[in-house]
This record gives sequence, structure tokens and C-alpha cells, in this order.
Amino acid sequence: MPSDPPFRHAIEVADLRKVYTTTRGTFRRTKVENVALAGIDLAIAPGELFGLLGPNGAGKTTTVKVLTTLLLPTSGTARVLGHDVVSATGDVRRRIGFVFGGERGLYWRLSGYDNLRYFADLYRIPPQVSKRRIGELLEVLGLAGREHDKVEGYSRGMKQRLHLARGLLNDPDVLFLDEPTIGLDPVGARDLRVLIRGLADHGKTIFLTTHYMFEADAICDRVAVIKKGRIVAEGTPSSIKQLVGDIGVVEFEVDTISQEDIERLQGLDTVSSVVVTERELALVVTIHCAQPAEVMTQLGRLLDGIAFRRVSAREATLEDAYVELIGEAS
Amino acid sequence: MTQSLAAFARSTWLQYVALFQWATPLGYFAYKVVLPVTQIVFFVQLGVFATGPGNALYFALGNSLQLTANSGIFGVIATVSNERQYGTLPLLLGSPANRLLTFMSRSFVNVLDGIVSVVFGLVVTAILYGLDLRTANLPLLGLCIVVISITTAGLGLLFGSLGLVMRDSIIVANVVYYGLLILCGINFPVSRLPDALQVVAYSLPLTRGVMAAREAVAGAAFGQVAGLLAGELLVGAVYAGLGYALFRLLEGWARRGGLQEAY
Ligand SMILES: Nc1ncnc2c1ncn2[C@@H]1O[C@H](COP(=O)(O)OP(=O)(O)OP(=O)(O)O)[C@@H](O)[C@H]1O
Ligand SMILES: [Mg+2]
Repeated sequence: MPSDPPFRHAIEVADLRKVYTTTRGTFRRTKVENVALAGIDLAIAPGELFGLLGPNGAGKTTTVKVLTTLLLPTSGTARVLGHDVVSATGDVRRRIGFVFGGERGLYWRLSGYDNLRYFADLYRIPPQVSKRRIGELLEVLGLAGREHDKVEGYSRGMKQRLHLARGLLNDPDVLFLDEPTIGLDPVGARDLRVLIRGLADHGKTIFLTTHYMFEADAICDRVAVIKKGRIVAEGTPSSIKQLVGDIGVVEFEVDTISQEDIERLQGLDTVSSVVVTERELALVVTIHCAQPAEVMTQLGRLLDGIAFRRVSAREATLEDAYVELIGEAS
Repeated sequence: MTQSLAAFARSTWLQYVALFQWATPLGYFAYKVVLPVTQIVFFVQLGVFATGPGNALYFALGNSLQLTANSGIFGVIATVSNERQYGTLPLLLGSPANRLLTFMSRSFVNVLDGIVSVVFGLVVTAILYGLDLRTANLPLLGLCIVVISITTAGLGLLFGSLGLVMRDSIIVANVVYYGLLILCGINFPVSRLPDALQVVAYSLPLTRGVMAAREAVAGAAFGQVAGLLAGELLVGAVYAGLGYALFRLLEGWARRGGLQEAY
């Protein structure tokens, strides 16, 4: 067992940049530079469940790939358990597990059990250990009984759980999960979240990316919001919510609403943003504001003659804060 | 030691089943029985038609030996390059597994498979065309079969690596397969090729091995073909080495941000 250098943070990232260089065109080839990470810093404590949130193309997967040694950064440093992810790949690889969302990355023609045996061999886990661990993982992940079926016959949720079992085979200290609940039904996704939370409670450091704010809110100890390769906010889910002010949300439905009406709502002192989204048969108007109760009382006056319904006021969620942050930093 | 050997055997077998398309009983039958018999019969008929009945055995023997390319080329290319299709390459590259061992082991079962194919082809040849092995140097013939199974797999490893970046590796496999069929003295002696193509032929696996095997069938002693076999092994090793080098090159490229689709 190689000893680790002393480390305070399970994951430590300093000024990490990744610029992808791709070529475009078949005959006149031009180089295109795409800045995926524009210098990010992260420090994640051992045992922490950390969530990286951000829109499509923000750099989440890129970050995970760098931290799992699959991708070289352009500059900056990243350490996992004190080991440099560029130079000490062997030490990092032995001690981490990683799961990328989606159905790829399994041998469909093999059974779930054989998939796990194969990967256990890749990690050179002694047979007695791997046998016991595979059994445990199949049990915990609810795959016991189906482990000898071929993976091609598994549902998406089963494949996802098999992925997680694979990621846990080497009993990693740090687990990277890139959108682990993508494509799962609500119950399956919740079960998986409970499981992930449980892993963190048992001392594993978990680095997770997700698009689902409620997911991050529900299980993460700490989150960071990344946008266009930059971290735009970081903290506990509740501190992120506070970042965008002591805001509440007023929501209601209308059939139509004019631009003037929206502007009138925006004109209120306490209102910070008004967002209109289309939902099935109606438009949903979401107002972010400091005093939801007061805005509620004013709605009738401001929207004279408009039939609005289902008015509700609530506390801001992480998603509200996220929408605000992502909008702001553009 | 026995433990790691067992693990090695298991994972090579699992890789073979996982990554090789024809690893179903029916597929295997079509591939290992129907196709070889068809190929042998086709080329014998063609050859007999073109050169007369006296040469039937030459064609039958050549095509039986070339069956090793079934596993060595198609099998190995599929086993290496299918990783791209399954999206499992990052898992391999992100693991602490020994790269050389993992890479080389992809050819292992295919080598055994190649040996079985050739033996099957020889049985077919014996039954259909009266191949008489009573005067043959059987141990030497066996050795030749093992050697060509290894060397064709070496060439397969190179094209398997290529397949990690190319979408149509199966087309490449076909070209290589038929290239071997034409150039390696399967259906006519290499000496009948134009000079330039002879150079190509001698830089391919099979050529020397098939020559040696023909000699062995005629009863030659080991010493008479040792040079051919050594050359054959060298050629195979060079291709396998190039394949591994290419694999590592691609690994580095992938880490710098290329090989996007395979990820
Ligand atoms: N191999 C690659 N070559 C070139 N550009 C790439 C490559 N991989 C990612 N990118 C680009 O880098 C940026 C960040 O991509 P990344 O996959 O990290 O985003 P993400 O946050 O994971 O997005 P998503 O939520 O859609 O998964 C994007 O602009 C993307 O197009
Ligand atoms: Mg992503």
C-alpha cells in the first residue's frame, strides 16, 4: 500500500485551465480554441459530498475528466488525495472511482456479474475480496437476482446502478459521479440519491455534477456553480440561496401577458426579476422579489383585467438562486 | 501467481466474449464452419478451373492456413476496436491496469481460435481433397500453425488500434484479409508476384509461415524452415509492437482532448 503525501483536502484544484484545440474544415483546416475551464479553484474536504452545478457546456465533465486523470489540463494543478493528477496517475487511479452518466461504458453482451468481474480484474483486486465485494454491491444496488442476465436486457436504471457498482469495486476513497441520475425515473433517482448520501456518510468523498438543483439541495454538503469555465458561486446550498438576496418567489399562471404588464411588474421596488415560461396550456410568471406577500397584494392592481390564477408565494429554492446566478454572470 | 494467471485467463476470456461480435453459438458456427468451408471450396474450384485439377491440394492447403486470419485479423480488430463502440475505453484508460498486458491479451483467445480454425480447415481439406498427412512432419506443421496464428494476430493488433479512431474498422479488416489472401502465397506462389509486391508480401505475416507449413506437409525437418519461422515471428512482433505504440499514442492524444467520440 503506497502511502499518501500529507493532504488537507481530498480534492484540491488551483487555477485549473483547459483549452481544447480542435481543427475545423476538411481542406482549409483552421485551429479553433475552446476554453472549457478558464481557471478554477476548488478545495474539497475528505468525506464531503460536493456538487458542481452548471448549464450545458459549462465545463463540468471537463473538470471530472481532469480530476480522474483522463484529460490533461492546459495549466494549473489538481490533486486528489495529495497526488497530482497529471504525474501520479497510478496513485490517483487506484484510489478513485468514477461514473459517467448514460448507458455507455458497459459490455452489453456480458452479464452484470461478468462486467464487474472484468473490471475487478482490471483493478487487480484479489479474487476473494472481489467476490465478496461484488456480492455486497449487487445487494446494495438492488441488482441481486439479475446479475447473471446480460446487460443488454437491463433497464436504464439497472445499467446506471451497475455503473455505480463498477465505480465502487475498488472501494475508492474519492468517487466522481458525472450526472449520475440522468434518465432515471423519479423513484429510481431518489433511491440513488439516498445511496450516494449514504456513501458520503460512510466517509467517502464524493464529487458530483448535476443539472438538478433540488438534487444538489437535497444531498450536497457544498456546491459550486460553474459557468463558461468559471466558478461563479460556491458554498452550502443555503448560503447560495442567500447569495441572491433574501428573495422569495411569487408565481402565477395566465393565458397571455403583455410586455407592458411585465415591465410594470419589474418596476416594483422589491422585484428583482420576472421570468415568463411556457407550460402546457398556460404561461407561468415567476417573480423574484424581496417581499412576496406585498407583491401578492399588488398583483390585482397591476394586472387589471388579466385573468391570473394559481397564485402562490414561496421561499426561494436553489434552482431560483441558480437561475439568477446563471442569468447574472452572462 | 496461479491467482493472477487465473485472473488473466478469466479477463481475456471475458474480453473476447464482450468485444468480439461473433461470440454467440450460431454466429460462431457460421463464422467458423460455413465461411471457411465456403472459402476453401470456392478457391479450389477457381484454381482448378484456371490451372487444372493437379493443383487442388495447393489451393486447399493455402486457404486452410489462411483461416488463421479469420481470428487474427477480424477477431483481433473487433476485440480491440469495439471498445470504442461500447464507450468503455475511458474506463480502461482510467484504470491502473497494465496497458501492455491488457492490450496484448486482447489477441490471446483469438490466437487459440486461429489455431482451431486452421486445424478445422485441414480436416476439411483432408476429407474433401484427400490431403495426406502421413508423410508430413506433424509437430513442425503444428508449430507453423501456432506461429502464423500469433503473427496474424500481431497485424490485427495494429489495425485494431487504428480502429479506435476510425469508424469503419470492419472495412479495413476486409481489405487486410483479402490483401493477405492475394499476397501471401495462399493461392499462388509469392514468386509469381511483381517484384514490388513481393517486397510487400515478405513484410506481411503469413507469407513465410505458409511456406514453412507447406514444407512441413511435404515432410521437411525443423532446420530447413527455422529461418522462415524466425522471420515470420519477427514480422508479427514488429506489427504487434507498432500496434501497442499506436495504442499508447492514442492514449496520450485522448488525454490531451482528442478521441472525443470514443469517450
Ligand atoms: N474533446 C473535446 N474537444 C473539444 N471541445 C470539447 C471537448 N470536450 C468538451 N469540449 C467543449 O468544452 C466545453 C465544456 O464541455 P463539458 O463537456 O465540460 O461541459 P458540461 O458542463 O459537462 O456540459 P453538459 O452539462 O452538457 O454535460 C464545451 O464548450 C464543449 O463543447
Ligand atoms: Mg457533461
